[in-house]
Amino acid sequence: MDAHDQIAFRAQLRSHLRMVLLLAAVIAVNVGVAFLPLDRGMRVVLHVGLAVVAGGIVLLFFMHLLSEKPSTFLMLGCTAVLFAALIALPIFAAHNHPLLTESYPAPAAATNRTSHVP
Amino acid sequence: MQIPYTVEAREDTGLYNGKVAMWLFLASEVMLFGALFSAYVLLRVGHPNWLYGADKHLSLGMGALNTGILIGSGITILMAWASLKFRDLGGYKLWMGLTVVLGIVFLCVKATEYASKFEHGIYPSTHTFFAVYFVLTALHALHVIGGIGVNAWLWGPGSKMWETEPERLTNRVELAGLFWHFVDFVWMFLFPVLYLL
Repeated sequence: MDAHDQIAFRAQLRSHLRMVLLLAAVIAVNVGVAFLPLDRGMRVVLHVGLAVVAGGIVLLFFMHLLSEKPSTFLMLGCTAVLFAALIALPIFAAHNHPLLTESYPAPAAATNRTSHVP
Repeated sequence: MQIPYTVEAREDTGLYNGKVAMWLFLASEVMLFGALFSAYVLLRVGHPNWLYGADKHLSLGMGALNTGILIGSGITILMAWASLKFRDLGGYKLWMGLTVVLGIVFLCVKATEYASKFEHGIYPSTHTFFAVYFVLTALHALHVIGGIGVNAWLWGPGSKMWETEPERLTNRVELAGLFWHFVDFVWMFLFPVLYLL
C-alpha cells in the first residue's frame, strides 16, 4: 500500500471501529426491550427487527459488503431470496394449515412438560 | 505450477478466487442455518405449549457475555488483517492470538451454560424449545471450533507464508476473518431468538 492507500485504509478502519459502538448499542437496546411490558407480537417484531439491524452492521461493515464487487451481490441476493422463502414458508403454513392452528388444545389445557424447569 | 488468481482479481468476477469461494461457502451456510431457523419458526408457531419467556430458563447474563466476547473477537481479527496490510507481522500475531483466545473463552462460557442445564436436568428431550436451543447453539459452537482451528493455524504454522507470499497470507487472513464475522453474524440472530424472545 502506498501512503495514500494507507490513509484511506486507516479512515475505513476507524469507521469500522465506530460501528462496533453502534452494534453494542443496538444489542443493549435489544436486551432492554426484553424487560419492557409489551405484547408478544410487538416483542417479536422489535427483537427480530433489532437483530436484523445488528446483523446488517456486521454484514455491511465488518464483512465489507459495502465495498464488495457486483458479483458478490448476485450471490448473496439469490441467497437472501431463498432464505426469505425458508422463513416465510412455516409462517404461511401456520396460518393456513388447520393441524397447526386449530386441532391442538388450548395452551392452558395442554400438559406442561416444563413445569419442573427451574 | 502456479495457481492463478490467489492474489490478483479475475477480470470477470473482480475478486480473487478464494473470496468467491468463501462467499459461496457462506451462502450455503446461510441456507444451513436458515433451515434450522425455519424449523424453529414452524415449531414455535405450531407448538401448543411453547416455552415463552425463555430468558427465565436460560442465563441472559451468559448469553450477553458471549455476545460481547464475539464482538470483541470481531474487532481483534479485523485488527489482525489490518496489521498485515500495514506490514506489521508482530501486531498480526498479537491480534490473531487474541482472537483465538476469545474464541476459546466463548466456548468455555457455552460449556458452563450447558453444564448448568444438565445439572438442572434440562436436556434436548425436556422440551421442544431446548431441543432447538441445543441444536442451534451446538451447530454454532462447531463453527466457532472450526474458526478457532483455522485462526490458530494462520497464527502459527500458516504465518510462515509471510516470508514468501505476504499478499497471499493477507488474503487468507481476510477470508478467515469473513468466516469469523459470519459466526458473529449468526449469533446476532441466535441471541435474541433464544435468550430474549
